[in-house]
Amino acid sequence: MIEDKNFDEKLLNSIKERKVAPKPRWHFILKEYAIWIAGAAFLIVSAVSFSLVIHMVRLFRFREFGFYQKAVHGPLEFLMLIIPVFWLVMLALFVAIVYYDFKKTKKGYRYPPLVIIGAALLASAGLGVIFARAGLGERVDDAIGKSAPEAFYKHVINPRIDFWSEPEKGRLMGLVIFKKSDDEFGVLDIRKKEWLLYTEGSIGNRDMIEVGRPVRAFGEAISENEFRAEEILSFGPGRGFIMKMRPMPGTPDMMFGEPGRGMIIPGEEGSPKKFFYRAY
Amino acid sequence: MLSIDQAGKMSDEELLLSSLGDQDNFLYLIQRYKQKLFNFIKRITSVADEDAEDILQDVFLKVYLNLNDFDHGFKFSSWIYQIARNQVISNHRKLKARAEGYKTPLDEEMVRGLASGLDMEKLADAEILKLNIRKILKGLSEKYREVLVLKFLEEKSYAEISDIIKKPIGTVGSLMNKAKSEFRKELEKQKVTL
Repeated sequence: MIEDKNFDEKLLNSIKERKVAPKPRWHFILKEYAIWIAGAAFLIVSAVSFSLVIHMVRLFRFREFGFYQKAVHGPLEFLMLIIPVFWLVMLALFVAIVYYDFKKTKKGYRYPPLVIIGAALLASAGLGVIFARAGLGERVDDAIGKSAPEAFYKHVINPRIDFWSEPEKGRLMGLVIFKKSDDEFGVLDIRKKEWLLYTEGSIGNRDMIEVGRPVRAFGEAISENEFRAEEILSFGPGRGFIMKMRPMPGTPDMMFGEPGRGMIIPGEEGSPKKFFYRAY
Repeated sequence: MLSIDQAGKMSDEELLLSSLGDQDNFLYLIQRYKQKLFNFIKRITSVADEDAEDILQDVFLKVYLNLNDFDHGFKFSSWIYQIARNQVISNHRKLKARAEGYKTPLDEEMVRGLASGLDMEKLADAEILKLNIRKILKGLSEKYREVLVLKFLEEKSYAEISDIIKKPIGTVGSLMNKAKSEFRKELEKQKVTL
């Protein structure tokens, strides 16, 4: 039993003396709204992560498995190349934040963790597919590729950049800087080195070879700056990263513009540098 | 201020609303819950009466401060028990240092309810059971003690326990099963002869 017989009166008097007043209703409404808005924001961010996962795997061609399998040293390295680990980790992180946020809502505790996490994943996936279809994943990857620190992007976010940047091992990736003919064109790799690519007899759609666009080639380096391609592949994620190598318009020896918005001006025969793309 | 008769006819939720209009009406809510919460605090913490009263004061102060936060989708009693539980948790360390043991009275009906819930109906001697239940409860971890106290001593439903401890009903169910099994193990461990 409560020993103090005047407990209730003393307590009420103490409330009065200390001039304690109930917190206003808007204070709690605002808090609840803030939790819901933060949850919705993190759900959108996790959906964007999901759209990036889609973007990273969407352009993956089945035959690329062969390249990766031959080149890697073990299953872990293989998985790291084919699975967009960074974006999956981001997705897991944001879904976890959505889960903790939802648990903070008034009735959030009533739902088991699996239901909340499952619903958050489903919502992220649904929204992520819509975002991916609208091209958001691609645009975000382009933007991150352009602005993220170079080493972080190519080692952590998109390790395939590194994988495709080993011409001595038969893998070359870069930006098409000039096109001499259907089977001969110039590429600037991520180390800003120019290569002349020969594609005669190689597999792959030639339409993707367009000045100012990134491209990947699998084959063999036949000299310091010449590469014979066995296969030409369209460029997947990392377009923004590679596009940031484009010189600014007005650079004296090479000028680039958006594909289809310029013209190739042929120079001296056999000199790649004399071909340049002039934007207008 | 409401008269005692008027207040007596009102639900907790109505009294809460009237307390927002007139501070003095909060007295009726204090009177309604002070003993129940005092017992609850004593049962889940084993603190001295003086400490339990201090916690109780903090509980009512928090209730008063947060009157506008009450959601009418909940039962008022679940809400106030939830605040009491949170207050106990926040005072946990301080209280442990001055623990005194379980001295809150248990009436026979409660003890029989607990025995029945634990499938121990054959344990007919309520007095012996009362003494040993305290000893066994003390030996249980807090999460198990808490659900057993709420279910069998505070006579709360699973839905109410879910609202008080802020866990899904399914989790309350599994906690309850584990708590019962732990209770039986503790009984064996202490070699209590009932």
